[in-house]
Amino acid sequence: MRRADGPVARRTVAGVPLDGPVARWAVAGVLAAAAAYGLAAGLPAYWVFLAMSAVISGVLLQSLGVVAGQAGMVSLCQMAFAAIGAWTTAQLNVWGVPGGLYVWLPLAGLAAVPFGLLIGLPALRLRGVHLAIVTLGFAATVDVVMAANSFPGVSQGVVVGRPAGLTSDRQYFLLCCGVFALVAVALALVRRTRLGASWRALKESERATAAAGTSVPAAKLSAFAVSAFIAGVSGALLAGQLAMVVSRNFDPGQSLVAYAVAVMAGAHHAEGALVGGALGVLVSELLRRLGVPQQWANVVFAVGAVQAMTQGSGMSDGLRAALRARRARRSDARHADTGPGVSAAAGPEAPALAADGRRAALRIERVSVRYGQVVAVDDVGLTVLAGEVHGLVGPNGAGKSSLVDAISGFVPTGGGLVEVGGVAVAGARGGAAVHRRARAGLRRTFQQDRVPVGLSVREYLRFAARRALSDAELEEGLAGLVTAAPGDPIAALDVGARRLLEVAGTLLARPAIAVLDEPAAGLGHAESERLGAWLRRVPARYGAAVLLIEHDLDLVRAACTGVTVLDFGRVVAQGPPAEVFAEPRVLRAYLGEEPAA
Amino acid sequence: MIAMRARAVPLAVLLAFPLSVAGCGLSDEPPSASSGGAGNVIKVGGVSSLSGAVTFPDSSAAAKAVFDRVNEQGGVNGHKIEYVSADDKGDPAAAAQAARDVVTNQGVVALAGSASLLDCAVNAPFYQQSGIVSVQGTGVDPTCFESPAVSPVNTGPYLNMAINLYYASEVLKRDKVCMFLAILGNTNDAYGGAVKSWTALTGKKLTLDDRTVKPDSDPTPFVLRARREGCQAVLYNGTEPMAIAWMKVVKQQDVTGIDWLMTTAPYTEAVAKALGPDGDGMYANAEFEPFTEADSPALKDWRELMTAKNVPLTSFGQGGYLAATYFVDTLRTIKGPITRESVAAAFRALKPVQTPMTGTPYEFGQAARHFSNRAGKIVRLKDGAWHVVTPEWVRYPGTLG
Amino acid sequence: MFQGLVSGLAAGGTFAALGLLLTAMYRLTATVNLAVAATGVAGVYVMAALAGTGWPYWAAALAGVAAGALVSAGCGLVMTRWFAESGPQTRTAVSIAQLIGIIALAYIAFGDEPRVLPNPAAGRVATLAGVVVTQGAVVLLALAVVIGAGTSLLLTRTPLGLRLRAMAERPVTTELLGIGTRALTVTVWALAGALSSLVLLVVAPVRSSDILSLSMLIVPACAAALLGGLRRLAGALAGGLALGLLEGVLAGSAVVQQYRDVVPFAAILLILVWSRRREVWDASR
Repeated sequence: MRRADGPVARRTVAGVPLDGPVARWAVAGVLAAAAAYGLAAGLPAYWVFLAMSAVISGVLLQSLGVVAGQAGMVSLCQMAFAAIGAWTTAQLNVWGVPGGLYVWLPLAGLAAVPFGLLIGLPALRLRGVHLAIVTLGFAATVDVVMAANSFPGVSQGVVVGRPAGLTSDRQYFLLCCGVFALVAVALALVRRTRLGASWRALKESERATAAAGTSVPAAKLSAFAVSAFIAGVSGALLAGQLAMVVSRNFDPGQSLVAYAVAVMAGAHHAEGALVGGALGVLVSELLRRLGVPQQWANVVFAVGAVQAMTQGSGMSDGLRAALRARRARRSDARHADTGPGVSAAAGPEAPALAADGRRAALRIERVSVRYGQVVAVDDVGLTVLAGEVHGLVGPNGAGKSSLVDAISGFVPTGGGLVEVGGVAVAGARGGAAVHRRARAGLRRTFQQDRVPVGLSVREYLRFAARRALSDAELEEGLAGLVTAAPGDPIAALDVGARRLLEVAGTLLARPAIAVLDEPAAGLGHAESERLGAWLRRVPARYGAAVLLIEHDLDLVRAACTGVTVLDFGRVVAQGPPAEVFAEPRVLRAYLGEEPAA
Repeated sequence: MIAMRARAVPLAVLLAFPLSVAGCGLSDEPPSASSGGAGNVIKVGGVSSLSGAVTFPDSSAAAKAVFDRVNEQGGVNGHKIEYVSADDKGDPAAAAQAARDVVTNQGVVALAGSASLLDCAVNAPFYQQSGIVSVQGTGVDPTCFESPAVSPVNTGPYLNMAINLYYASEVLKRDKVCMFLAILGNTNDAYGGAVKSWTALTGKKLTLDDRTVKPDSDPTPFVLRARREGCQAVLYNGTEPMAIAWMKVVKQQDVTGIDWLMTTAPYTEAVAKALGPDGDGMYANAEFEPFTEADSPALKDWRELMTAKNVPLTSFGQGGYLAATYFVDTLRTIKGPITRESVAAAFRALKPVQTPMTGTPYEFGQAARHFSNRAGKIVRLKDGAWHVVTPEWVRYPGTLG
Repeated sequence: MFQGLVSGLAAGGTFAALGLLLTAMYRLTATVNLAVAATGVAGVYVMAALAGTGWPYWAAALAGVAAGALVSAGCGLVMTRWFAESGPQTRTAVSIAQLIGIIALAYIAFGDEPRVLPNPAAGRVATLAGVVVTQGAVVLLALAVVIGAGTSLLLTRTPLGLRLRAMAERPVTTELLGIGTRALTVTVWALAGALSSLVLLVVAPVRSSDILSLSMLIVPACAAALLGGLRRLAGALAGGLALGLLEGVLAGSAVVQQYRDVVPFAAILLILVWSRRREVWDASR
């Protein structure tokens, strides 16, 4: 946290500050390395072997952490990927490919990637239970094929050789630790990137991910590819550990148990994966020592997984939450909270409106949306000029949300035209994909809460903005809108705050046009008023025009310079709010539904 | 903070590399460092499938019975034998763990009487590396017959299959011989080797070679296929329950005129009892002197010992008994301390051992692979009881692989 | 070819019956219960254990069915107690954990030596194309049809079915409406366990295998249910039958020997992706 750098006396070792994050990571890295070396040198040989098994299954669990933990796709075929990796290693060994395991490990991972992509492709259309069943079927199929064809070299008694420097179990254990650490660090790095954020965003909502300018197919396929790579590497490590592997090492039942353990331990964090791997080995060893049947281990994992699912989080999440709570308590004690207040939207600057010669930020013509026989939007045209905040109002069922879906690319425009900043994103011959429109400068928010809870405020804003943001920019983006520090997890925010955060992220992307779908839903009257004032200043602050869909007519009056009224899918009035809301047609259409306005 | 953390990451990566490099200084202690024989006890191990989908508990139980009797009679040169039997759950990871426990942790001097689906496949390289020998009671996976460190006392499914093929084509004189196999683990090539060897020996070819049966398959389509293709003799490698299901379907579908030749696995009292007269026409191949022959003089000692120690009378029990017996006899020849090295050396110098329970002598020696039990006796089910149809051993004249 | 079809009838009935159970449970409890076959296996093993101690078959079988129902009800209780508001994906993940647990507990309780199970329906019914059709095949087909028709009637013709559907789709709302949901849902689970036990009592002696491979009958059953999109009962019935017949035909033929088991998976995957090709987004809006 930023607060850790506050003007507090620092503990130092030999002049090196111990408080900075860099130092903390360095210390953690050195400690981990020392611990691994100590274990390798100090443990009895048998326990080195057990520790090796634990670390290797930790690598496998990390692969599940990507696809299931982060991206939220149920994958019951990780062992199949591992089997492909092990198979590749055995084959490379039989061929005598130079470089030994150092070269075979990455090659084994790469060999599993095409299969990961193969399973990722159906995942573009199949999700949840369907995907679970398909991946289980894939696991069963790979098992059958592997069983029918012996692993290379097994029949000839050719064992997977270890290269010089890795021949002893102790050395090989260190290699496994090194690979685990590399995977963990690489995943931690990816976690910071937009790619990593896109995986976690995917878990929350595919629509919101695409609307933030991220390609959903790319995110899904990359998650499966990365996961398959890691699982393949773990299979190769296993082949090197045991020298000889058979198809039973990878049967589908193991994939199921791995999934349960991953859920229980929270494998999307490295420490969760390690704990999961260690549990697998320790429980089994403990049962063996106690003379209890080995099957009890699976009972333990089953109960643990169910328990984790009742909590909605694994062991690693619990650990991190506890740590965060402790750190927060400590920093609260020495740091008065100076988080931004809601009221920071001080002096209302007059929107810098250059009255004429303005370009259209958004222009739509002849847009129609049909669901079967029902015409939800009928031949609608609308223009939002740059620098304008434009309201789109209408009674429930008037077609507002369908129109927004059509503009943003979730449903076809029926041949209608959509132009963003003068560039056509949809026309007579179909339109661009959602994420391409978003990148072209058309951003939207959702009525439903679709902010990914797995991210922190900072991560989310960077993900939504699609660029690096300094802390100053972050604070500015949040100022006057959301009371949240950049380091806060989104899961800690209430739903109203999340919706406003979504608005902040959308605008930080500096789009040509931001389509905000009922951002004030759930806000109190005072907050709603403040939001109106804030929205009015958006064009000046962000250079973005706004299309505001709202029920709250007071908010529309406060924020908008122009307004369009929809009823039964058609435009019934357009113009400045004062004039439009005085029209009898509008009163009839609108007030019939909401007399309070 | 993000920028700062990002700088920390390469640091962590840098740390990961020395980690593996630094490991070069580490090496395993010599495997004999903790070798058994401490005090007055000789530790002997076994890795067997005692739980899981397919289990073989009788072999290690029989081996333990032999060792117990040796201990009651004063041990080997005054040393008692402690038998450490570990369970591999039929799971390769557990098998590897069990072997490390027995060999590294417990420091046994050798392994005897193991019976497992995958002990050899997973652990043979480790045994070889550790300089330890295994006198396998029941070797199932092909690696048992492919390793210099392992010599099983049993025939094994592949030679079993070859003997059956030989018996079907050369003794029963069937022209159309068919084979249905359930391929578990890495057994495909080994069965292929058996067929190839038989073809080379007799110049005959299989009418039908179907290796797609699975343990949970409904046998009906396979049995019907055998009838449709006009098979006269069918070889099948199903386990106990698979063989029962198979023969029940044969009866159900009224398939007659085909000889059904199975491996050793279904040669049990349970199969005879479950099938009753439905099993008429089913053959099996006994790897040892058929245990259902109550008054066979070759089995007198085995039968008495098993009965005394409450070990079920099965073919697997014969394997464990023989393995333990060979092992104890070899121990007695060792002069000086009994260590992993001296035991391994004694087995490498072992002269072939002939007992009336097997058709060919047991060998260990220096060979790179061991296939010493090369004979079987064919038994046949009639009215719910097993009957020996070849009082003489059917010795397989060819070689495998 | 025709022989192969007839010999695949029993398998078809099995897959269809289990696939229908899956579909029915998905519609009634919003759970893809991957443990449904395993609960049946538990029932079969209770039967075997009791029959082994000298109970007459029918009594042991009845106790087995009851045990299957009890195990399944236990799973349902966990589901309604802690996961009433979770989505289908979480509930399915829970059922994976339950599957692992049931298999492990069954191994602990009943040991792992494979058992020789008495076959209640071994007799023959007819001979088609030279293939004897057993009672087992007919019973399985009948069970499949009964499960399908029963669920269909329950869902469309009875107020109870309406309530159950409402519960599956909107558990919280239904609870708020004051409809006692938990007992009802658990009853559905128990019923599914009992039916699954019935199916497995007939299947197990023919497929004669251990706890794990019998529990894994859930994989082809899932495939059958998917062919009906987890919603259409007729689709699951037809899908299960087609899979079984395909298995019979393929087992009797010489083509694609090694990769025989890949064929159904590939076929299902293609059908599934094709039928859901328009499901571009996760949520409808």
